[in-house]
Amino acid sequence: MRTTSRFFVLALLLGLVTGVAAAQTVPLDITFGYRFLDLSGNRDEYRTQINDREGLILRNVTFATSDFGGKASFVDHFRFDASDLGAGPAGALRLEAGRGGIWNLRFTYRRAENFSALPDFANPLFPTVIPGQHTINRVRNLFDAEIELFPGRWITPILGYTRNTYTGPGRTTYFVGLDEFRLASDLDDIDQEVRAGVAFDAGAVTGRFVQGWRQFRDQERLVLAPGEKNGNSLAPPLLGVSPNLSDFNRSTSTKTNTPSTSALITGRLGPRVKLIGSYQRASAEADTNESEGLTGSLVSFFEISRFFAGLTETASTRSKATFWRGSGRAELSITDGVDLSAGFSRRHRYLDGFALVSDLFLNTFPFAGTPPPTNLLVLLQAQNAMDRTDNVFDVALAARGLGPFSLRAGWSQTKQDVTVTPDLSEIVVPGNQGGHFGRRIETYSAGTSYSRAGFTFGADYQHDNANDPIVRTDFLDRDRYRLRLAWKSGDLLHVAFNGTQLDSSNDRPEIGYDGRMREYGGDLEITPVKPLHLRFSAGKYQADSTIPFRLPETLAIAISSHRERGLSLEGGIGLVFPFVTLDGSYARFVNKGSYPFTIDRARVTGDVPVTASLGLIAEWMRDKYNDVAQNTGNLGKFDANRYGFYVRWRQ
Amino acid sequence: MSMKPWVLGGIGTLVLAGLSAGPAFGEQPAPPQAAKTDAPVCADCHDQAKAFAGNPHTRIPGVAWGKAGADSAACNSCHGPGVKHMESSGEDKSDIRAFHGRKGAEFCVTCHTSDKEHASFQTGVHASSEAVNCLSCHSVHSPEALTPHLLAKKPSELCASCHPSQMASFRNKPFAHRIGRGGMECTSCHEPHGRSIQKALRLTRVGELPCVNCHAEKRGPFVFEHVNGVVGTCTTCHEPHGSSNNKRLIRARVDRLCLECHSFGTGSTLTTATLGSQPPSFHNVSLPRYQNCTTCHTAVHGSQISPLLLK
Repeated sequence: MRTTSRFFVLALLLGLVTGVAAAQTVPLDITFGYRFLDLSGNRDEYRTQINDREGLILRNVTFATSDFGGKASFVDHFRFDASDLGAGPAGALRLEAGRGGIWNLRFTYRRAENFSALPDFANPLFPTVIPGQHTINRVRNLFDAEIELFPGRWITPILGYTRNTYTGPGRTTYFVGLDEFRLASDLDDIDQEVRAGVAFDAGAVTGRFVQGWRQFRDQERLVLAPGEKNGNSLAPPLLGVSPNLSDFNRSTSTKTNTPSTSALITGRLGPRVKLIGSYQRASAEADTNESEGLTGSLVSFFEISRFFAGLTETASTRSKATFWRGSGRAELSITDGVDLSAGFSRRHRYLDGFALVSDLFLNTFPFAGTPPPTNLLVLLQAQNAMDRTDNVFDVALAARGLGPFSLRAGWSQTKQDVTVTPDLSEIVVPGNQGGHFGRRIETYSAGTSYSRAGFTFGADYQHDNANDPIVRTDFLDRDRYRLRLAWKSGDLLHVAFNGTQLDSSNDRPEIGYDGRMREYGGDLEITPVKPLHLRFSAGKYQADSTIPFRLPETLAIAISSHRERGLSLEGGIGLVFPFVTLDGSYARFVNKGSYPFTIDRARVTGDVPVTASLGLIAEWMRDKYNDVAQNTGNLGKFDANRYGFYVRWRQ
Repeated sequence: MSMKPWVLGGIGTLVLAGLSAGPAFGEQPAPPQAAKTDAPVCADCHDQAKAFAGNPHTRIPGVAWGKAGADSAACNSCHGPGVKHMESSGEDKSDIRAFHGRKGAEFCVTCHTSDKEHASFQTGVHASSEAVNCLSCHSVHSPEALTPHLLAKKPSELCASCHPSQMASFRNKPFAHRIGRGGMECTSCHEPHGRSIQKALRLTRVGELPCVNCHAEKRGPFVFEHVNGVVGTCTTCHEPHGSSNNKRLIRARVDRLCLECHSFGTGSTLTTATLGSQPPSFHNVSLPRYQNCTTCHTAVHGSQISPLLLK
């Protein structure tokens, strides 16, 4: 499959690049070179956060033309962009080509390396064992291609294909026999969709209808990680037995098929009224098969209350989810620059799940008994359902033509109805795991803006009021304020201030949730003389939330509190001379509170033009992270310097 | 399903390659105005017109083909014919349409009428006003060289100019999406021309949150679902922009994040009217083992097999 996808991409590129070869002038901008990495501190933490690697890198390519000098009639425009391909961790490629009114192709490719190995996440053994129990080192590749035939004409056929793969190793944990064992995982996920549709333009009525077929395939194989036979072993021997695994194998395969439909239609009733209708539907059906086998010396309380020496599990499950959403909207232009819109949408999702899991416990014997051991079969047959409907009605008024002012106001109502019917096997502590839940949210919003003579002002306010929560952290009241002031004096000066505050609360006596987030900052840019550009910014970030809860072990009331106090300061300078362009900046962010850390960042770039087309670029990037205050010691530190040397060619 | 689209795609592409490399199908349509006359053209005086070749506005069907510098059709389509302007050697600008502020920007939507792409210019999140309009982000004549859609700057820089706090989350928080790199931009998840409802999110074609465009394995459906798909969304537990906490979570301690929902009420009776089960009492959260819920409950996004989301 990997070979065919590479072939596809290569063939696509070759085909289109060949097509533009006849172009008379091809604007080209390409920067490539080598990046060195000098890293001290925790490499895993660095890779989790940044992951710039050492190696060859294509920083950017832009290759575009629509000037074919009449020689190529099949293609009249072509644009190819790529960035950060090579020594990752994330790169992209985008291509658009076609001929006006005949065809248009859009192709995108994105690659992202997902690495996560944190010392203190999912790690009850920290700092004895590092990194955490869960790590991943996977790669995601996304391809998307869509071709339109006769774009802009009365009928435009559309064909599209999307492919998203996510593959690679990882580590996870398995809870069995009252202990957790680390497993090595090998994941291979492919999600792909083929779609076909048609857009139409009949003057007053336009629309688009697309039918898609999506298939998701997940395959994961897990084995016991080397050296993990004894599990976490946090507990003392249980009834004289220290749990251990001698062998473990699990194989899981899931296939999900999802036909989907989307339709959008817009009609105009005269010059002032526009009507929009949309409908989407997706019907997903997932089948999973799993087989698991393990041997060891283990103890089970929940399932069989016995010791056991092996387990063979097979599972076959099916889940079906039907989702649809329909909406209608009317937009009325009352007068020039004054518009009213109103819409209604209904969203519905129904899930039906069924699982049949068979566990054969081998060589079991009771806690107080004497062997001979026997095999025990435990069957789980689960059937559950979930039904959710959301109705949203909204009205908005915008007055945009009041000279330099604009005003807007809106109201919306969201009604949620959720019915959860869990299987009994899901319920360990009875209560609040199923039932019918309803919530209605009224939202009022208003905003204004002013712009004249380089001065801009903007303010927004939104209030949400809900009658009931569905989960404990749902707000009953929420207020959001936003203010922005900016002034620009030609190229000389640009100064701006921004502030945001978000308050949310639920004052129910049995919940008592309270949250506030405040963020404000200012920017200043000065260009005193043409070659010199200075910039400064400072910002504060504050977050507080508290909610009481009951401790599982005692049912006593405790408070979950989260707090952040962030301060950022940044300064930068740019110098532009005919023989060199320099840009440098330094930034520091200090965050105190529940998860304190400090980040220092420095960036310096020098660009030396050698000829009109050729330039040499040198770059230094430094990121220094320190979360020592969390008792992570040296594990919570890294200092990463990247040095890049690049060649730039512009034509 | 697995192979056929690729095979067909490959064959189709090779055909495309052959066709585009071969002789032309036919001649280019003639430009709407004669390409070579002694009459003055915009490019005689305006360097912007000379540099307009390659601009998407030069290939408006029926308006202009090919190089804009050779004729004035592409210029005329927005700025008007400018006959008086030319006859007066540039002195008279009365028949030249200039583009400033809201009124100027709204001329763009005389052609860019797509409801999907420009839905918000009247009532949406970036409804056209003096403060924010098409020309705030797009530059027809001086776009940033490395960006598509004639953007005036890189997409993330444009958004940051009015939304600095969101950009600060990406830059200052240690666990963040890699914005501005590898094709990840604000517009990967937000539709700048969208309506203000739901933060102008760029939903999938069937109305799902944009998260599952990349994180497809979290889409489900699962036999035993958790938050997403039942109540709440991905953002119930995760900060989509950037977070101070591991795994972009909204809380520093995982057990606190879980227990805020998974708890009885704190009233006089051990009941609550909300959804979320109380963990059994052996979960002693004073011990590190139970402060790390996901060590055992690995399938927190949903499971096909385990009712307790253990695998």
